[in-house]
Amino acid sequence: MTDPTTTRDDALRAREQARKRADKQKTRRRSRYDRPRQTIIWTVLLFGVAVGLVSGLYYAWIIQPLNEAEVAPWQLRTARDTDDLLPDRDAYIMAILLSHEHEPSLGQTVQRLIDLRLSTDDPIQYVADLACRLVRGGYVDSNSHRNAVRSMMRFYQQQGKSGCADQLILMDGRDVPTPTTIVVPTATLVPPATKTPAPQTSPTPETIIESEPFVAPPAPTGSFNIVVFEPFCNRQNSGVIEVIVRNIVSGEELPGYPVRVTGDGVDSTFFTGMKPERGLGYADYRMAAGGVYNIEMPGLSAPTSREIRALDCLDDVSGAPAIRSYRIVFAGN
Amino acid sequence: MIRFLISLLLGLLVGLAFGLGLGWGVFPTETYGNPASSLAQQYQDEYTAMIAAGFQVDGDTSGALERLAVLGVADVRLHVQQVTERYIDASRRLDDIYNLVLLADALGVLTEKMEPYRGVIAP
Repeated sequence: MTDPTTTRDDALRAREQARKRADKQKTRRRSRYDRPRQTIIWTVLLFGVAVGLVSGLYYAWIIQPLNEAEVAPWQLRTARDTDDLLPDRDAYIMAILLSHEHEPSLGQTVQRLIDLRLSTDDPIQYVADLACRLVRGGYVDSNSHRNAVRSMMRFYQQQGKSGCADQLILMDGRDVPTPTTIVVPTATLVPPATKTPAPQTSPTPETIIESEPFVAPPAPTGSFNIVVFEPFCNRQNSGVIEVIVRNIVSGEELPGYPVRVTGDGVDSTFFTGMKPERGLGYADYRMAAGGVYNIEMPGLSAPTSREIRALDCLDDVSGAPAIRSYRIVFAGN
Repeated sequence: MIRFLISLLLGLLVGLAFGLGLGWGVFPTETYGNPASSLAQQYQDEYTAMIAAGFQVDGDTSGALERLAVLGVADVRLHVQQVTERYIDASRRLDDIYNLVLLADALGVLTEKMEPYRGVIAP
């Protein structure tokens, strides 16, 4: 038989223990397994944001940059971006200086040049260097181009700057060399009397042209560029490439320099000074009608990027049909 | 695993949207080496006005046409006409308008709107 007192005590003890367990359960920290699970893992989300941000920027800046339809002048093409003789930003500079000719406002002009973010601290000297590059590159092949370069020259010269264009382009329009005929008198000496009659030989030519033998100068060296590239149409001088080679500093014509014409199955090298009556630095080449040619000074210049085309034309003066001719001046030292 | 993928995907999408917004909108790339045809209109107008000013000095119509051709416009004459009228409508500097009108006149695109400016002597 069980003791009723013991049974009641056991029941009380069990109830007390259950209450304590319940209290302990309440005070115990809920473990991760007890908490309800969140849909987002924040650390992973932040990692995704970082990766997405970098990817987005990479795509927007590198892979598919916004095609800017409206750019500023400083973003235009320069000589680094194109082979054009006058890249777009340089054309803009030229426009600035043409405008300066009309309205000489030094402050405004310099500010416009500064706005172009030129790769130099001296925008005026930059203009001098640009003029030099244009002249050496053969840009001055028409009056328009020459006048534009002169605008640049006037600007930088007024500011006390200088460039190689100063030696190649004269400000009064005398830069285009015109062929001059040099009459060289040749002395004809009376032969001294001889005791023995001269032997009768075969008929002699009626006229003997006496001229000083051409003495080739030492092997030419240096670097030359085309500074004048001027097409013209003259019936008397039809389809001729007239070449003049001169010193870039002194302007004197240089004899004995090789000039090479290629194109349409032609590869001909000739030398300046073979026609001294046209100038010591003069040489010419007669083209076939319709031919396309290139010209260079072998080893001394790069081939011209412009094609020389022997196209039909009308004489600049008489209007008679002829073949286009070219006047090309190489300058260097 | 599903929670991981959802979080990652959501983060990528949000980051990508921010990246594209910043890269295209707020900090777009500044491109170099653009042709003059992509110049903003205000600069194209400014360029045209400068060429017109140069034309006053040398009177070289073909030279002006050649220089304006750099802009890559289909019809240079029409472009000069439009720029001139824009300058007139916006009451820009009288000197610029005068230069543009004279260039437009030389190019044969003088309009009624420009006519009053022909006789104006620029200050």
